[in-house]
Amino acid sequence: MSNINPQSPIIDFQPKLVNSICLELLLNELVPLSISTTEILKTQANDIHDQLVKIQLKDSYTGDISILDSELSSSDDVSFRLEQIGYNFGLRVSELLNYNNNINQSDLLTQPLELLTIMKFICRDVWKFNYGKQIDNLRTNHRGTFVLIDNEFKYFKYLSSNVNKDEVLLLQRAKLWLYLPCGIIKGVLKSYDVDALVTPELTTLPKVSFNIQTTI
Amino acid sequence: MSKSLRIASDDIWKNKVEKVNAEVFTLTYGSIVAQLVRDFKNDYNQVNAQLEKMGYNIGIRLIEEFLAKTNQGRCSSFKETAEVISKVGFKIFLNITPQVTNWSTDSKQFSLIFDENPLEEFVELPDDEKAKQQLWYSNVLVGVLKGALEMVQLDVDAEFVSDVLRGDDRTELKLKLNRVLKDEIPTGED
Amino acid sequence: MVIHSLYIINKAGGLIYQTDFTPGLNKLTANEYLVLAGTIHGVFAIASKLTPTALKLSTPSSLSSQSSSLSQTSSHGSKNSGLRCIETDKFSIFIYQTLTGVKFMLITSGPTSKDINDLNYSSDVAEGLLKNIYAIYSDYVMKNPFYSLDMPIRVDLFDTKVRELVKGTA
Repeated sequence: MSNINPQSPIIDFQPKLVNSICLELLLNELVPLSISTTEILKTQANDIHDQLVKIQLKDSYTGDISILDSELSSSDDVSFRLEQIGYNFGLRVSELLNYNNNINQSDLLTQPLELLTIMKFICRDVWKFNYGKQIDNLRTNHRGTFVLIDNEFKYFKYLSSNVNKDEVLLLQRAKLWLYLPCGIIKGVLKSYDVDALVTPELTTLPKVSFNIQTTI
Repeated sequence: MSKSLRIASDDIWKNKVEKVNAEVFTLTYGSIVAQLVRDFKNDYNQVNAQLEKMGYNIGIRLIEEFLAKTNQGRCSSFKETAEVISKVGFKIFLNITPQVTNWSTDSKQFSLIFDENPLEEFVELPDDEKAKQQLWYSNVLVGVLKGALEMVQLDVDAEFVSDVLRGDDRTELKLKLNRVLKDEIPTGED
Repeated sequence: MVIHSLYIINKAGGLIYQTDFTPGLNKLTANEYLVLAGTIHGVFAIASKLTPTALKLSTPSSLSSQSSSLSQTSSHGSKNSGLRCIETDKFSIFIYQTLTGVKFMLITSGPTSKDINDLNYSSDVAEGLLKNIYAIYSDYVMKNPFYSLDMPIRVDLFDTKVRELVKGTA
């Protein structure tokens, strides 16, 4: 006999969805945003109000990508900012995924987790959540260094190389977008109390790899 | 009219749109806002401005996707524009349909009321009175609307006037048509 | 119908994309391409001025029922004025202008007969194709973070997708 009250609302277990273009265009804007923020903060630091106004006027019409030519685009400030956004994301995403997957947080916290298990979690669950696929290849030297390789980084789907364009410049620019996933990896690791240095590597689009140097 | 709009956009949402888990989107946006708040040391007016600028850049590109997917023609009135924004635009991008209401008597101003907003799902504002008074968390939407409408030659003002995150009863975004950019309407489309 | 070439013209009348699909077509000089784009842009504007007002006025009726055109792939005459098609014995030109002012233009083989049904059919095919190209443009050009709006399109993936589409149509 069933105890289910037919009047009880049906709980919708379907995850909510949005059009993927929203996420894609949002991610596209991260690099220009971080450069622009860095520019504004730099000018503010100089404390010249006029210049601040000038900068805001300058990018009132956009749609062009000249901001990527800013000398600041290769600055540590910009990559750090991008990494921070990913880091915020990473810290929270592991909570969310563990909850969704019914993994008992306290179990994870009480027993010391094998580093490899966390890496697998990143390669499998975190990647799938973010990019709809798993990491293709995970390598380790068993001394705390890991390399994660994604042969077809989803986000680079629309980032085809421009004909007649400087390939080196393209890679250099594309790399900026990888600081976000670097931060995500760092954030997830941090949520398990692992500190790490994560660096992106990019030789041919759309293959990307992440070098993770943990301090354990 | 609005009924057939709804059916058509439901069809687009169901069959023509690639979708992602809204949580990824929500978390990404949240991480961006959090970083801006930190970068600008809780100067929320600047955070709002950066969010709007980012939205503008998104809007001017998003409009092409909108037109290509919906085959939407030019609206004959701002009233129709409002319906299309809510029932088609928000529907096919965020899978929500904010209410269109609060029309001004000259039909140049209306409000969108958001009963749900994927950007603000599970979000709490920083525990800071100033944030509750100044931050418009979803300000990216203001920029998106301005940018997208400008590309179809509508110069609008847009701003949030209330937000449940601040403790208001509802989340309301006001849109005001300043002018139709007649000179920029492509010829043959007037 | 053979699809010969695709042109994309930005809202200011500048040529931002040109590609040929059939081998052996005569090439124009870079300057001639620009002149062609500018001319089409100008003639389009003039053509819309020439459109009798009565014809223009017929559009609101299609506007009020436009909700139904939302998911329609082909809408005869629902578009406003301007230059939509040029027919010659040797080739045809079809133009689709978006609400944002971008023009997509196809050069195709000429009509096989003078039968009005044939002509309508070709223009339907061309319009469908142009709208699909617009969709590819919105995907692969607009989503590319390195593309500056209104500038020449140099995007490999866009080339590939457009070629696949045209190949599939032929």
